[in-house]
Amino acid sequence: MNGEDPDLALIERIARGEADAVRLLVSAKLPRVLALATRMLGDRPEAEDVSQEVFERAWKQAARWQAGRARFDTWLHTVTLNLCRDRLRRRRETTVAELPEQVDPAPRPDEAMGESQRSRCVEAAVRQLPARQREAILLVHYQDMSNIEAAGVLGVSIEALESLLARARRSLRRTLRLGVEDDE
Amino acid sequence: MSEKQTMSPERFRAMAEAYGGSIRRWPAEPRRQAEPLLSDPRYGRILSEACALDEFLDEWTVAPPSRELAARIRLGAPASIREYFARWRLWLSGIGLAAALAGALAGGVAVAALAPMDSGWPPLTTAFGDLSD
Repeated sequence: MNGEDPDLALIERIARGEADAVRLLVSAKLPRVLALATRMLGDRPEAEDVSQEVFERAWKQAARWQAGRARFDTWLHTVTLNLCRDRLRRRRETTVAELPEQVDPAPRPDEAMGESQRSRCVEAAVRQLPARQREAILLVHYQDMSNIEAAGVLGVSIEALESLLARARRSLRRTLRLGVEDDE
Repeated sequence: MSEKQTMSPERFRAMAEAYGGSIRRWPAEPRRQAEPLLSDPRYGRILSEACALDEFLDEWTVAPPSRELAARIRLGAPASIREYFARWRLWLSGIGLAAALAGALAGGVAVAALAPMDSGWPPLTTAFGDLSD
C-alpha cells in the first residue's frame, strides 16, 4: 500500500459503532460508489442496489478491517466493480434478446451538440469500449484513482494499466471524431 | 539535469495518452519530469490534444445520490444497530415504568372497588338532617 490509509481512523470509529463516523463515510464514499456503479451499469436503480450492497459489506468489513493490506477506498472500488461485473454477466446471460438499441456515439460533423447530447455520446462511446479498457477509464479518469490504486483494483501492472488507458483513449478519440488518425 | 530527471518526447506522449492532458493527474514522478518541458510548444500541443478528449469525457456526469438512498444505507450500519438497541432498551424501560404506573393505578381502583359501598361513613347529612338512618 502506498502511504497511510486516509480512511483508517474513520473505519475504526465505525467498528466502535460511532454514528457520526457512519454518516461521514456515507457522505464521502457513496457519491463515488454510485457514480462508478451508474457508469458501469447504465441503470440508476440497479446502481443504487449495488451501492447499498457495497455498504452492507463495508459495515461487516469494518469490524475486521486490517490496516496495511489495502486502502479502504481501493477495497470499496474492488467490491463495487465485482458486483457490477456480476450483474453485467447475469444481464448478458438473461437478456440477450432484449438488448437496447445501440446509440451511435459519433457526433455528426455539422452538429452543434448540447450538453446532454455530448453526455449521451460520451456514455455510448465509453460503453462500446472493451470491458477492461472501460474499467481503466472509469477508475482513472472518472474516479480519479492513482495508477497504483487502479492497477490494484484491476489486478494488472502499472504498464498494463497505461496500455489499457492509452488504447481506450485512442479508441474514444476515434469514436468521438476528435481528430486522431487510425493508428492502431 | 540528470539522466533520470529527463523525459523523452515519446514518454511524454505516452503519459498524455494514458492519463490525459492535465499533468496534475499524472503519477508523481513523470509529472515532476514533465514540468520543465511545459514551456515547449511541441509538448503543449500534445497536452492540448489530450485535453480535448478530457473535456469531452467530463461531459458525462452522474447525479449525486438521493438523501433517501444515503439514509437507507446508514440504517444498515453497525452504529444504527446499536442505536436501535439503545432505543429498544429505552422503550422497554418506558414499558416497565408504564406497567408500574398501571399496576399502581389498578391497585388503587381495586382497593376502591373492594371497599364496602355502604360503610356509613361519612354520614350522609343534609340541611334537613342525617339521611343515613
